[in-house]
Amino acid sequence: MPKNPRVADKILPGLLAFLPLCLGAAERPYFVTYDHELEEPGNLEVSINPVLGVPKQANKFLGSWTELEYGVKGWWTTEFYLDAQKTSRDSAIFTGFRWENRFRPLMKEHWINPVLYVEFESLNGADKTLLEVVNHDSADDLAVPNHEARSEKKREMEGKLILSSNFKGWNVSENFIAEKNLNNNPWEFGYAFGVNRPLALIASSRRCRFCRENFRSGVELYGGLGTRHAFGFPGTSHYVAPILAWELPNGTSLRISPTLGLNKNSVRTLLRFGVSYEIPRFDRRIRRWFR
Amino acid sequence: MIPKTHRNRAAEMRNIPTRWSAACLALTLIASLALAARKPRKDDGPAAQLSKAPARARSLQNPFTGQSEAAAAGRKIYQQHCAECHGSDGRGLDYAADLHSPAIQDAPPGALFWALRNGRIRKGMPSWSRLPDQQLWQLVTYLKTLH
Repeated sequence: MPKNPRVADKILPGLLAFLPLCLGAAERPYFVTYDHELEEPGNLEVSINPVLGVPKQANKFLGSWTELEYGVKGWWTTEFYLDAQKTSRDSAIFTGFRWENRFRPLMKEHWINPVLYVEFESLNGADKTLLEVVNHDSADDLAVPNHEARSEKKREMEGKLILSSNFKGWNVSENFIAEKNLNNNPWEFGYAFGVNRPLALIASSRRCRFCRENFRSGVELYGGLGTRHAFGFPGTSHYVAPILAWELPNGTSLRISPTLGLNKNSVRTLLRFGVSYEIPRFDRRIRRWFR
Repeated sequence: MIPKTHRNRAAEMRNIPTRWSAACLALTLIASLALAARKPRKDDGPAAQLSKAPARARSLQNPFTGQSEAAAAGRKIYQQHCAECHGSDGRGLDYAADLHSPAIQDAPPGALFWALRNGRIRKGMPSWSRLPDQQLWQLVTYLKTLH
């Protein structure tokens, strides 16, 4: 253990950032939108997703969520998120956790494949991952100093209806979001839409890093839809985000998405990164512990 | 001024959803661990699944039949996505099917394509619909070389 805790603070995140290069993964290319693909049963995927934000009238920030995704069954995936952020000229804080479950009700592939999503989140008001944009969330919320924003506790249940289709190499996904603060606030709504495709549909026979089939590109569009009492676009924020994902032959997955705010309520620019890796057949390892 | 007992009751009421959520979280974590630790049942084999392929799917022709280049690409896809469960030689590990078995080798290519695209989600085999059709056919071409 290093004597200087600051050194440990710098070394550990660095190690965590490079760990994915040694292991395997297959992550969806989207950051915000969900498609109908669930984690393979028994596999555990670890993913680190920083988001750099440049709001017009607030300090720059670096939000981040760490994601643990486990395939419980072929039709059930559970995920646990830890959120944190660092704001320029302000503090770095842990902002809370999310725990989500996705269920696939139909066992066969259809034109449109529904997935049901249920999430519980316990976050504070300083969370800056912008992972779900609902209600009248706006860039002004990000101008509140961390010490004030963190005093706002948000314990929320969230449901999503995920509809997704794969056709001729394209994936088209639509998410309808409904969120409820457990402290008697009205239902809040949002949406996310994504489309992506690999750069090549036919795989090459040689093992390569830069083959076109290893890249997927697409675009995401997401935003808020107000509340039960004020449903609609007025006062909401919206984003468009081109995405590029690169799946390396050893399975490591890298993603990047420059995101643009579409109206005055949105953060002007966001830059999202994602690195993920998978521990295959994590269930076997657990079984071995109990033998 | 709100009496103290009322304030306590209000605070308790606020805590109820949190307690429920914590209980649900704990229960699901326990259920996930129990399901993960459980040894999967031996299933009824791939023949039953392949026999469910609709006639339209069975009649599909593999555009890459006999192409060694496609089989090599299929092998690459296999090693990337399938070897983890079916073994690098395709003999099957644990409960995953032996891909050398007659049920698979004698199946029409269209039925294999259909099985890969749909998976056997209840039995743990994921759907590979995220791979483009061309890559699934390359995979089928490789599987047919395993006999």
